[in-house]
Amino acid sequence: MAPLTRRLSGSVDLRRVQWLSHGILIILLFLTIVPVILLLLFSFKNNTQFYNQRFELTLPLYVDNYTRAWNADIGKYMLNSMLYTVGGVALTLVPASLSAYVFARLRFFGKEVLFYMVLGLLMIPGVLTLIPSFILIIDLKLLSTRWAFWLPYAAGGQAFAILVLRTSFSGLPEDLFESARVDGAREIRIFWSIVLPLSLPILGTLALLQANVIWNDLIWPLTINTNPELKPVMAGLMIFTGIFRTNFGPLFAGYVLASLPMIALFAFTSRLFIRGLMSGAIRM
Amino acid sequence: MRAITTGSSRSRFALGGGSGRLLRNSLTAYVFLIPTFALIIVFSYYPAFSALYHSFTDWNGFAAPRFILFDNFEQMVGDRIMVASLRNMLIISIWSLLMALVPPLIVAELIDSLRSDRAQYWYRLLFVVPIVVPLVVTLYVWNFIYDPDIGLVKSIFDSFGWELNTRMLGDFNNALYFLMLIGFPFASGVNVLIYLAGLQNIDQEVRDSAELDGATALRRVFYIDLPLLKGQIRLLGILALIGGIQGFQAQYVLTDGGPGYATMVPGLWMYRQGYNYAEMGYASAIGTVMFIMILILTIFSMHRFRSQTEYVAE
Repeated sequence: MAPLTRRLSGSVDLRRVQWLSHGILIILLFLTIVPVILLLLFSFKNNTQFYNQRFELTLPLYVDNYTRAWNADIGKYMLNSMLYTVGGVALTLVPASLSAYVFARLRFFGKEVLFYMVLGLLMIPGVLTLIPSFILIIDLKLLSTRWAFWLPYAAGGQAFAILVLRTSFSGLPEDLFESARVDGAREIRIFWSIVLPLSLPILGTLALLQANVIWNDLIWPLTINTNPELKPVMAGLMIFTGIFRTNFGPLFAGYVLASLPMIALFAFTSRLFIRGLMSGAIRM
Repeated sequence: MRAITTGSSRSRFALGGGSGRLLRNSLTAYVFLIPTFALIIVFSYYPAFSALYHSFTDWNGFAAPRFILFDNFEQMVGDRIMVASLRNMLIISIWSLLMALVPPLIVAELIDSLRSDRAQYWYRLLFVVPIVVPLVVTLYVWNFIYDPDIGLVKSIFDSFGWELNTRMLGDFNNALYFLMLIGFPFASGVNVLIYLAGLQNIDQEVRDSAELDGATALRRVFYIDLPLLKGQIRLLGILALIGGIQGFQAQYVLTDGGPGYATMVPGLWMYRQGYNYAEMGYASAIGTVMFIMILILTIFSMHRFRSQTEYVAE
């Protein structure tokens, strides 16, 4: 960062401008996280408190909501979600990074057509393909199996991941590739030992974004899975909405519990995540 | 970047000795592309073409479809709910385009203007954290904020002694606008970081010298930052438009397109036709129309808005 001292004209009082920036940012930040605060607040209320003092802090905190949510099989559903998320992310990024590599680094017949075939996927409305995809899953005999989660998630993640990785890979200095090729390295080896290690931040960022999409998805699990044993957590919580129709405390406690793995993941990988996002590859 | 890649591919071409190298590259490339294309052909293209095909049929989803040519599309022209939902979609799309582009840019510029790297880091982190909250939860929470009897908006009005004469999401004339305000202040974390990345990749000397020449911060934003952020703006803009055209989760969870058809959008109308009325053929036709609109808009914005850092597919 260049010092701001030189960026602003002399007549402006610098410290006042800095404080103004902080002030606006803090107000915006507060408004942005209000829903998160309210979610936490609601999750600690019993029904009376929820209807009478909804937006106030009510003490003592009603922790029982969390026990009730946990007792409704949330643990099992979260385990399912983890399986879908890890598998879905891996099956998205392995093919996508291979494809992005050839689109960024090789010259070959039909490159442009194939690339636009990938890019075009971004334009297909998800809801357009929902019904035919459902019928396809039935025809492939994948209904209520884990593959019905993994494969469509992997397919759905290809376009964005390839687009971003291609920009990222084509920004790597060409010298690296030339010298490896002169040494006789094959493309797969260049990909594995040069491109991947240099692209860990952006791969991590994409993994996190895709994990967040899969973890929070609702419509697809409700469409292709009827087996309660295989339910991911967001779909599992929908059943909660039925049980606790007028009892929101346990429902929101369930959502807080369901968000914890993603929050933990973000907390532990935030540096990597931000470095990847800040690498500048996400543009067109 | 373009200079580097085109230059290097020329030298690689020379090095490999013409078309032999190109052929071998092609084979390698196709092998690398197999997993992606296997996935997208089966799970993305096949369902999309199936939907296109069925938009010309009368189909309940299970019995054999009956081919009826353009009847579905003719029906759409006379469908008042469809026409109303297109109007709503247009308003929502323009709004989501603006909200995806402008507030995150302001936040990014503000963060970028901070002198302390530590403060910058914390703002970046805290602005991105809310994305882990599932959309459906955010929608529930907003529903309680809007509750016309005991909601937060109502409480705030009451505490100031003001009269609140709208039922917000239950108000036929205003429901759409209250729905659009969900997500305020729209300082979405990922977009902020994407902008910040762009800003920090701009040559600082260019920005500094503009300041030295006496340009105000605002002029610098318009004449230096914005033109150099075209790549980011284009990506965020296209994604926002696509989301605006096909999104219907808020309506699905909160208003069901009502009151009346005040908040109906084509995505929800298609979902209703398909799943509630078993009109899969008509639903597919609505989806096809949405696809065509997205296609036209995307092509239009790609051409209007070429970024100079573009990397040409060779």
